[in-house]
Amino acid sequence: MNDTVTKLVNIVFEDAGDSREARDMKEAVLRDCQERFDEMVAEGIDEDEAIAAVVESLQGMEEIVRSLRNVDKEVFEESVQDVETAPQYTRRLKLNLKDTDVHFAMTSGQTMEIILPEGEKERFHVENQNGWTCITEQEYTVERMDWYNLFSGIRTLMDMKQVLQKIGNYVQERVHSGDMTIKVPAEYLEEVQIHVVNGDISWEKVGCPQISIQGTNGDIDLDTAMHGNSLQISMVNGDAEVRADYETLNMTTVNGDMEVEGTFEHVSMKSVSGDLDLDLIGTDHAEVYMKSTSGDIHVGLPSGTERVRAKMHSISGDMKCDFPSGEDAPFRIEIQTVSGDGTID
Amino acid sequence: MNADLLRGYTDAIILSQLVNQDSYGYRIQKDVSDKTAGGLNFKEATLYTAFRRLEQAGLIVSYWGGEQQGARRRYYSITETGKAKLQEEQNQWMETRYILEKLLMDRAEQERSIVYE
Repeated sequence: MNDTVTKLVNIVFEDAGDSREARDMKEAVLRDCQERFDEMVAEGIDEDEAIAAVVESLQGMEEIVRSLRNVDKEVFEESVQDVETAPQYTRRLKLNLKDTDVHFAMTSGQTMEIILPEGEKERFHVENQNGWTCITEQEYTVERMDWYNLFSGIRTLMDMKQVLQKIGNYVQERVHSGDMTIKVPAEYLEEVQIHVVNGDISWEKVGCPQISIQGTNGDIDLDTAMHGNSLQISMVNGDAEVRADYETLNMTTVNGDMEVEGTFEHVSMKSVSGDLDLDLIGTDHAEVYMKSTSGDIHVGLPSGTERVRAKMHSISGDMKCDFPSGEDAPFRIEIQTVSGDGTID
Repeated sequence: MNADLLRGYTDAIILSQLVNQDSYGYRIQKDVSDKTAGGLNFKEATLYTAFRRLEQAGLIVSYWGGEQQGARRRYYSITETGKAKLQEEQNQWMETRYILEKLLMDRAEQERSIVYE
């Protein structure tokens, strides 16, 4: 961490305000500048020249900083939307959540119903944007902790107890919030994009041709109804269980097991330390790519499969591929394992 | 080079860098600069204005990297809609290029103008 680089970025973002967007951008830009500096120095370039390059890359930030400052104001000025009187929802849904579980379920009604967690409604901002219904979970912006002054007035044990109480309340408010439920008719949704930090996602018997889920901590349980184009899931820590019918399935996880059952034409499942289990049913032809660094891989193929091309890579896990017996179909399997066992039945 | 023309393709260029794998600010800057032998160097402002625009339009999504030390990387990932948009931009470029080449690079025209110098 070079001090000058940090100072430069601090100066640039001095008047950017304190919104989540501003803080995120500042951290990302700081990282970019640090990497630029470090790489140049590593190549033997003079530190001063590297700093000059960083300065040059930071030119022209005034406009975006100005607009970030205004974001802060928007957060306070916008009124809370009452769900009942909200504008008609579109069929494209975008969720941007921090600490909330989401359930998708079928409704007997005609349109989408968004049920926000009890007692937390103010933290969710629902609006239509560019043809998307966007639900964004906001951080608490009202009460700030004045960390510096918090500790400076402690004289007695009683003072200390009060401070700890304050910290306790602060933490309490920020732990996991409630559940959100989205109820839609079975074939209502056209595209869904979910971005969640901590939260599980469950999806029951509702269809959507294009789903993209990205999460950091949370489990995923999907049981989709109709045939769709593309299902993408990307998790850091969390297990995924999927029953679906898509043309393309793309799943990656760092720590987490993935269990998939369904009909797909193109499958890609990647995990660092989780097990991968794929059960293809009713597939005519498919291309499968599975890679796990330290987990086991299992693929099951249905009888009547005409053409399957599968590539399975594992560094230290075991791999198992089940073929239906007595079939004469062209299979092309490529298995690469470094220290695990590979079995083809 | 024509800065205005390139500026119009900023979004498309960023999408093209995300089509095969997710990436982040500095990495995109570096790759673009290397691939064009220093011809195109994105500033942070250009990148992050574009990221914001692309994310609001649903063409990309973003997430934090798991870096333990120091500032984290903000990774960007292209969506299906983003891929479709990239395709559109690619088609548009082919058309533009065809038209300009046909008009500016006509051999016969060039030779005549050289003679008159």
